Amino acid sequence: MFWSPYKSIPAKLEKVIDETSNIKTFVLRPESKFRFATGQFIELSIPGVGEAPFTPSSSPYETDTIDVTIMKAGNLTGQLHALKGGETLGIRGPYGTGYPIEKFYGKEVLILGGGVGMAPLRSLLLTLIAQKEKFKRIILCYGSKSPEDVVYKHQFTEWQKIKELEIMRSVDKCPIGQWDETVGLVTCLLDQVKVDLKNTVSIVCGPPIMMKFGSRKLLDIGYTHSNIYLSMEGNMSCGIGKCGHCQIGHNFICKDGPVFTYEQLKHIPDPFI
Amino acid sequence: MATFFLSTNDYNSFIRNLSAQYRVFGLKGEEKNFYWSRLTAEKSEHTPNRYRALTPVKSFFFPVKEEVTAEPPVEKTILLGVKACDLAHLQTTDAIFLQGALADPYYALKRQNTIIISSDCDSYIPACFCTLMGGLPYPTKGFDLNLTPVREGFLIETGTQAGEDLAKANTSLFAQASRQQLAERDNLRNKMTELLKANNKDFTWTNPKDIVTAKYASQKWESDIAKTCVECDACRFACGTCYCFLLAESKKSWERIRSWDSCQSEGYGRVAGGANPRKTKGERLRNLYSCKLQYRPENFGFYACTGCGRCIEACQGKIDIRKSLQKLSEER
Repeated sequence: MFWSPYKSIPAKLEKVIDETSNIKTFVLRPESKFRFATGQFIELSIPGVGEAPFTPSSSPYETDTIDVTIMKAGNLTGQLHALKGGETLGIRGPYGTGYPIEKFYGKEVLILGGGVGMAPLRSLLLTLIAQKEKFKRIILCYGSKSPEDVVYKHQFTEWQKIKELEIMRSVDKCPIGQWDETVGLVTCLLDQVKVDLKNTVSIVCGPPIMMKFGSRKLLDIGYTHSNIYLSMEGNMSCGIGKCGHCQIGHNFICKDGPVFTYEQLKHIPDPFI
Repeated sequence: MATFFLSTNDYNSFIRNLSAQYRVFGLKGEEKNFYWSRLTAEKSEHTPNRYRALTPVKSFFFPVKEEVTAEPPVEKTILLGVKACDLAHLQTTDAIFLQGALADPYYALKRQNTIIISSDCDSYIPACFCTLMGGLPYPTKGFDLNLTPVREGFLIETGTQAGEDLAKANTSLFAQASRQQLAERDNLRNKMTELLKANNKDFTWTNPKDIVTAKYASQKWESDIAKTCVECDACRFACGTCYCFLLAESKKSWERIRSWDSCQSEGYGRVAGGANPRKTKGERLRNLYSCKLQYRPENFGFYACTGCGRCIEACQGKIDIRKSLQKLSEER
C-alpha cells in the first residue's frame, strides 16, 4: 500500500481554550491513533489554507486528545485563532527527537521557559510529574511579559500544590500590587536557584532572545554544554529532513532536533534567530 | 563490467529498440543549449555527447512541481546523455531523498524506474569547472551504461546489472571493443581533462570547505560577493543538487503540492512572527555556499557542488562561484 509522508490525517478540533489575549490552546482529537514523545512536534494544518509546525503541550500519556498551544503570529495562526471548535484540521507526525527523559533520571531538572515557549515545556512537565519519584528535583522557572500573559493560569495553581515541584515565576513588567512573585527577566530567577552542578540538567524553551541569554546564564552558573537542552524553532515544513527550510548549519531542526544540546549547536555562530 | 563497440548505424537501432520499451529522453540542442527531449522511433535524432543540458537531471526525479499526497504514476524511463557532473549531483539528491528518517516515495519510485545512460563530454563551455571540484569530464560511477564517442560509433561501458541486461538484450548490435578504440577513449578523456583544467587555470583555490569555513565572518559576503545579486533565484532553480522545496496546500482539500524553493528568497527561512535567520543577501549567499561546500560535506562526505556551472550561466548579476571563492581565498 502506498503511503505518503506528506499526507495529513484528520483531527477534530474539540475545544479552544483562551490562555492570554494572543495565545489559545487547541484540543484536537485525531481520527486514528496518534502517539508522540514529549518534545516531538507535529505539522498542523487547516486543509486548503496552510500548515505549520507546533509542539504538543499535552502529556504524551494522554492518548485520545492532543493539546496544541498557539500564539497568534501570522496568517495560519491568525486563522486558527478564528476557529471556534468542531472543525476538522489535519495533523502529520510526530517528528524529531523529543526530550531524552531517561537521561534526566536521578537528576535535578531545571526547566527554563518564557512566554509561549511554555507549551512544549508543559508537555515535558506533565511527563516529569507522572514519574516524579524518578527525579531528584524538578524546578520550573517561568517568565512572561506581564501577569496577563501567563499561560496555563489555572494549572499553575494545581502545580503549586505538588510538593516535589519547585515553581518560580517572573514577569518583565507589572504595575505595583498585581504580582507578588518576581518582577524582572526570567534569567534573574536563576539567581535564586541553587542546584547541584554535578547532577543537573536544564531544558530551555522560549523566544530566541531568551534562549540566547538563558543559555548564556546557565553556562555562567556552571552548567556544561551537554547538560543544557534547547528546543529550537525553525520553519519546519516537511518534517522529515528533506525540504531544507529548517536547516541550521549542517543540522535539520526537524529530524536532528527540535531538541538539541548546547554542545550540538555551539559551532554555529548564531543559532538563535 | 564490460565495454563494447556500437557503430553509428547500430546506435540508431539501439535507440529505436530502447524507445519501443521505455520513455527515452535525450539531449537536443540549438547551437549552445541542450534540452531534454522525448525520443521516439520516428524522432530519434539527438546529441549524445557534447556537454550537460540546461536542465539538471534531478528534474526527472524531483520535478519543479508535483502532487505529493496520492500514489504517483510511474513509467519506465531511460535518460540518455547524462553527464558526469549531473551523475555526481544525484549523490546529493539521493542522500537527501532516499536516506534519513524516511525515504521520499515520490523521488524513490521515479529513481528506481529510471535507467541512466551517461556519456563523456567531448566539449565544454567556459562555465564548466568539474575538475576544480574533484570531478572529471567523463563518468566513472553512478551510470547503468556509459557512451564515449569514437571513430564511426561509440564505446559502451556497462556499470550495473540493469546496464548489463540492456546490453544483453541488444547483443546482436554490440561488437567487441578494440584496443585501438579503448586508446581513443583514453585520449579523449585526457584531452578533455586538460582542456577543463586550462579553462579554470585562473582559479588557484583548492579546498572550498576550508575557505567557506574560515571566511564565515568576512565582510566580502555582503560588500562584494552578493552585491550584484538581484534575488531572482535563477541560480537555485538551475542547480542540480538543490533539494529544497515548498509544501503548499492544493485547491483540493487534503492534497498537498510541492515545488522547488530557493534559499535566496527573503522569506525562505522566515518564521511566524517575522523573525528571519538570514535577513540580508550576503547572509543568504554565504549560507548557500556553506550548504554546498561545508554542511553537506559534513553530512555526507562529498561536496554538493560538482562544477556544472549552471549557476554561473544563470546569474543576472554575473556572480561566479569560482571567482567568489578566489576572492575569499585571497582575502587576508
